[in-house]
Order: sequence, then C-alpha cells, then structure tokens
Amino acid sequence: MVPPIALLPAETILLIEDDNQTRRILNSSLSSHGWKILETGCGRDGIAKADDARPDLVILDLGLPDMDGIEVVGEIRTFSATPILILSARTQESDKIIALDAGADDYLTKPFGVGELEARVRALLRRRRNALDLQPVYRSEGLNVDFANRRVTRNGEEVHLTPIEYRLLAVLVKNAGVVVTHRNLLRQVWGPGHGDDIQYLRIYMGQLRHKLEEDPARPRHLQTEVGVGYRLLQAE
Amino acid sequence: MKTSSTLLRYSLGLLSVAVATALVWPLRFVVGAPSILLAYLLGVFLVAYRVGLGPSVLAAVLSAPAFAFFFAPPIFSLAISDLQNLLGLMVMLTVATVTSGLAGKLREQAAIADRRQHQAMVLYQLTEDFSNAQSIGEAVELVPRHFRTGFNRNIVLLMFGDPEDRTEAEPVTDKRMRPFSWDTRIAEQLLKGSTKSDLSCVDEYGARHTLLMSGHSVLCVLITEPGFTPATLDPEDKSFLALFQKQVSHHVERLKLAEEKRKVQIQVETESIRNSLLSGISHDLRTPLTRILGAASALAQSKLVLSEDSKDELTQQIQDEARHMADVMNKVLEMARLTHGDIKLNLEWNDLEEIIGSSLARLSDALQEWNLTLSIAPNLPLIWIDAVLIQQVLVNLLENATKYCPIGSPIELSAHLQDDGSLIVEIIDEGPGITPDERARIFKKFTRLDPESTTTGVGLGLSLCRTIMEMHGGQLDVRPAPKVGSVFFFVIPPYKVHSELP
Repeated sequence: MVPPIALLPAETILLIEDDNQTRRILNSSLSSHGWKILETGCGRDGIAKADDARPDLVILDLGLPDMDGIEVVGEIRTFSATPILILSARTQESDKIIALDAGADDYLTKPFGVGELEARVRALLRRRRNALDLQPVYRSEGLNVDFANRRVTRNGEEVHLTPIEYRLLAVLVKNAGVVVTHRNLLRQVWGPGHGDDIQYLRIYMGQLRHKLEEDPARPRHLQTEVGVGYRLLQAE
Repeated sequence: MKTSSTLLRYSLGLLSVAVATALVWPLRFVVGAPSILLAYLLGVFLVAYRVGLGPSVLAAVLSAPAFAFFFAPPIFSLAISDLQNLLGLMVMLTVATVTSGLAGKLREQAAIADRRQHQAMVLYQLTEDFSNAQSIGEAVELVPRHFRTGFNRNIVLLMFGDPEDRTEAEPVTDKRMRPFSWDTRIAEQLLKGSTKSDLSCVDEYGARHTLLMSGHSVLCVLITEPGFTPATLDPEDKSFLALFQKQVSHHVERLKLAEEKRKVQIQVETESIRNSLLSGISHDLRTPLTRILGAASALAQSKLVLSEDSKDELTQQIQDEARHMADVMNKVLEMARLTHGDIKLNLEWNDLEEIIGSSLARLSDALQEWNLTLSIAPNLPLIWIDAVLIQQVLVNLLENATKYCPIGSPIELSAHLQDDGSLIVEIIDEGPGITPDERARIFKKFTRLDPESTTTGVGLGLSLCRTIMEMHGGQLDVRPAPKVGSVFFFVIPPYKVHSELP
C-alpha cells in the first residue's frame, strides 16, 4: 500500500490504548502507512499529549485504567476539535451513542481488523482536510454529487432529489466514510428541535436509497449502522 | 341514635294500646269484656314478638288502665270492680314476658346465624384469595382487608420477605386502613424467637402482637390496632379469631413451602443450563482456537518451507477463525443480557429494509457462496421495534440457513404485509427440512439437532430469536417449505406496524 499523501508532512495520530500488545500492533501497522504515531496507555497522559502535540487524529480506547474513555472525549473537546475515533470492547449500541454524543467522531468495535481501522482513519483525516478545502465534486462507484451545480447523477443518469433529500445527501457526503448519528442528521437537515423526529429521517433515507441504489436492500453507498446512524461508503 | 330507637320502640308499645282501644271502641256494646281483653292481649303479643320485652310490658301495664278507663264499668274511670279484669291484666303481663323472651331468643339466634354466615364468607374469601395468589407476597397483602371485614378492626402483618435473610421484616398493610402506631421491635423479637415463651403481647402503643407459627417454624406476626383484646371477645368471635389465624398460618406455610420448592427447581435448572452452556461454549471456542493455533505454529516453525500461497491461506484461516470466535463471544454476551431479564427494549420507528441491508452487510462473507434472492414488498411501512435485536434475529436465521443448507443452494428472504396488518419476514431454504418432532426441540435453549456436529454454534440462536420476538409481542416459528426445505418466519404484530405507508 502506498502512503496516501507522501508529499505533505506526515499527519500525526495519538493512540490512547492501555493494552501494550494491541498498541504495538496498531502502531506498527499505522506507521507503515506513513502516519506519525504518538502513544500512551492512560487517559490523563492522553489528554496532556492531545493538548501539547495537537494531533490530527486521536484513537481512543474506551476502557482505560485511570478514567472513563467518555470523560477523555469530553476533556479533549474542551480545547480541540481534532477527530476522535473510539475503540470499544462493549458490544452495546448505547455506549457508542454516548461516546458519539460526547463528541467522538466515529467508532470501531473490538475485535476489528487492521484494514477496518485504516479505512476509518483515512475517512476521518479526509473529512478534516475537506473541511478546510471543500471538494466541488464527490465521486464514488458511479455516484456523482456536483455541489456547484447541485446535480446528482447515478451511472451518468441524472437523479432528481427533493430539497430535503439533497440536504441529507450533502451532510452524508461531507462526512463520507464516517458515521453520522440520527440526531446529528436530524439537526443538520431539519434544524435544532427536530432531534427526535426519527420517522421522518427513516422515510427520507428510504427514498434516497431507492433513488441512489441499484438494490436498496443491498446498498453500496448508504450504509445503515443499526441503532446508531448512517454512513456513506466511499470507494477507496 | 340509640336513645331515639329506644324511644321509638316504647312509642310502639304505647301505640299498640291506642290502636287496640280505637279498634274495639265501636264494638264495646256488641262484644263482652273477655273479647276486649283479647284485643289488648293481641297488641301486647305483637309488641312482645316484634319489638321486645320493655315495650310489651309497657303495653301490658297500659292496657289494664285503658281497659278499666274505656270499657270496664264504670266507664271513664280507672276503677276496676271486676276480679276477671285483674286476672286479664295478669295474663297480659305473662304473655308479654314469655313472648318477648321467646322472640328475643329467636332474634338472637338469627343474628348469630347471620354472623356465622358472615364469618364463613370471610374465611372462604381468604382461602380463595390465597389459592389464587401467584406469590406469597400477593397472598398476604389481602389478609389485613379480610381481617377488617371479619372483625371491623385494622391489622398489620409482619413477616420476613426472604426466609433466608432474617434481617428485615416487611410490614404488610392495607391502603385503606386507619393508620395506627406499633413498636416494630416487639414484632421482630417475636419473629426472631427471642421471646419464645410469649406468643402474644401488647406494646407501649396498645397494639397487640400475635405470633403465628406452624410446628416450630415462625410464619408471621399479626399486629392488631390498640383496643382489640381477644380476651373480651364473646365465644363466637373468639373461635372465629382462632379459625382465622389458623387459616392464615396454614396458607402462609403452604405458600412458603411451594416457594422454596420453586427456588430449588430454578437452581437445578440454572445449574443444568450453565453446564450445557459451558460445554457448548468450550466446544465452540476450542474448535477455532485449535485451527488458529495450528495455522500460527505452522507459520512460525516452517517459514522457509511454506509457499507464499499456503502462507496466505494460513493467515486467512487465522483471521477467519478469530472472527468466528468473536461472533460466538458476542452471541453469548447477548444471550446473557437477554436472559438476565432486565433488558429494556430500545423501541423506535424503523425501516425493515435498512435492517435487512445491514444484516446482509454483516453476513456478506458468509452469504457469498449461497444463492440469495430477496423479495421485499415495495413501500413497507415503518415498524416499532428494537432494531439491534431484530437485526440479531435476521442474522441468526440467515446464518442458520447457511449452516444447515448445502453450499450454492437457494435461500430466499421475503418480507410483506399480511391481511391482518402484521408484517411477516420469511427465510425460505432448500435444506434438509425440519420434522415436526425436531420442530418442538429446536426452540429450546442449548438444543442442537446434532450435538456432535462440526458445524459450530451453541444452540442459542433460535431460542434467543424467539425470546426477542416474544418481547416484541410477535412470534417466530418454522414450517415446511412447499417442496423441500423449511421456512423460518417471524411476525411483527399489526399494532407495531405504522398505519401510514411512507
């Protein structure tokens, strides 16, 4: 695998994980892709390092020995907007939601493969870069979204979207590869105060799926994260 | 109240004399003195029979002067010349006493019969409530109410909630009762048997504590409100009280024994579940672990001999088996969470298509080698479910289909609304099928049709799925497919299906 952007200065990733073995494996596999890795085994030190080094991404294990990982998210969010990727051994969906609501950006449930981790890391870093420099056109596996002309095509054919469908898609495209919680989508598309109107979201997402996917029951773009939200899959 | 009714009763005595006088007055020249006396006698008799002794004596005593004044010559004077009339007065007094005595006894007996019937009713209700009660707590809750119906007194019942844990006794009260104070320490001393000699005592507030026992085992303490003293009760009530207490102790003891028996049974069942779970899990973890260890040691030891292809194959095997172990772990955890009983459903309006989509995504590797077709009705309404759990059901059923059906065989996933408004999801396979006999077994926990099979799985899947569907008010079952194979299906009830189509 070729390092993603060899010409730019390497992006820094802070790894907060208490298991030495796991940390070593993650460190070696991530640094082999050209990222610069900082690591620590406890939450306090992690917060300090996040403050000092200003990493481009934080990978945070929720089960730390010295403090609750969700607290770490909260503390980091008081001084930094850097993306945080949660690693969680807990299988319950509600924990993911709590971490995401506390300000984390995405999650990965243990156990996971290194490939999945790299994909999440890339998506989060890409989103960070795009936020500074918005790409005018999004392309992935036959789906094209042209923001300048508000034009959406599927396999070259134009797709007509209602304003709400378009706004939904735009939010997902901006977060391509990253999970967007139901609450977040509702707030960004319908506005604050609509955080709980989940059935509208389901209906519009259903319409969007039927317009954009060849087989809506086996979507290639609009992936459902059951109990959490949606993720727009971007072909690497 | 009481004085006015006494007054009324005596007025009735007076009235009977007036009525007798008024009735006989027009006939005074036609009938003789004895007949006139008989009329008065009738009045006295009726009063004695209906009203009682006092008023009837009054009537008798007044009848004599009334007779003397109105009828006996000389009329309009109280003088009685006739010995016969004096005799009449004597007769009337006797009749009054005897009749009212008899009538009184009769009334008393009727009252006793009434009371006995009432008491029998109370005891009957008590027994019935005890036999209908699902638990001992539910049963004793009704005791204070029955006691009040029986004795018109309030009581509190005190017993140990847990016979094993003799630290905290729980008072059972009736919501509608007049509150009264009692000293809990006295009751607890009785319950703990520290004052064994006394089975009944009165505390500083005047509340009486009575210990109910059966043989040597302590059952509960009845605390009666101040002012209730069994010693002063009449014999009827005393025996009723004894009977009441006997009934309560009998039923409490019976229920306690039943509860203990059930506890032992649950313990035995839990033990056997734990055993089969352990053997199932160890089998399920040992198999992939053996494969991982084998592959890893092969890679470590003979690096030079292995070709690139076989190295790749071994690393792939390690990955696959590790993933499989993770799946087993998740399933066991999920099962523990569900069977623990305190799970709360996270209900939301959900789109079945999304759940199908994410289930298929989760199984994309496993399903690759099967020929899966989807027939999902268009525009299905939203359903009010816990999406994570329903996904679990769908994943389990699809996984089962891949486990038990030959590679490459067709699997169909179908979802549509039924006539009654419910939503049915079917997984139709062309596998070996399920016989009626097997059907009865496969939904039980830790049952696998072939326990020695190399196919992995602890046998939690289907019972877990059924539990989840029952929690949703739905159902999960299997029926034979039209030609070959079986159809596993689950149904979301109509009231959980959104009435408006999207």
